[in-house]
Amino acid sequence: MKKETESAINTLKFHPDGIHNNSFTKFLLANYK
Amino acid sequence: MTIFIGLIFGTGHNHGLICLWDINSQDVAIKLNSDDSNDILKISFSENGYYFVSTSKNSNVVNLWDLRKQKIIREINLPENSHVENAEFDYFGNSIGICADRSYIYNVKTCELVSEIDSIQNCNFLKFDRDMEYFMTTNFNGDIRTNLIFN
Repeated sequence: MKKETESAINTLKFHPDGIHNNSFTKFLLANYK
Repeated sequence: MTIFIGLIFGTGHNHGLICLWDINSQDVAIKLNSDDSNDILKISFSENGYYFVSTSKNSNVVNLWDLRKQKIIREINLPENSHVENAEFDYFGNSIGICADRSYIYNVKTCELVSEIDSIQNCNFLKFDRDMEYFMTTNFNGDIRTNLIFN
């Protein structure tokens, strides 16, 4: 993974959509990047 | 390999920065900035994936974000001296559980307080059961409590 920022990472959570293989995150990545 | 298509995760950083990472490209896909610029402590996604909440250090505010609009759509303001530790959605996305000096349950649509449970020490984790009958909380003393949602 590329390092995004020098600031600390305080939390990390997976988005549930990718885990369930639904389409919302695919749409999100395709349209909002 | 593209076996991770659609798999993303979020990270909360200092100065109000929230990043959404695309595991497939191994890079940040979306950057969001919280208005108050406080350090992000916790984020939690709703089960349908459209929303997430964020909490900030030394803040009494929980921000509700809409990922489709990529902005904060509601703020839940706890009493002024509260410091929010954590926030979690229930499995239906109807309620948000908030850990602070005590534990609070808020309605997502109206942002009205549904339930409030006293705590001996500040609450730090909260999880709902799948049937929405109770939620578990822990505090900094190491106590674990089972709380009925509608008491």
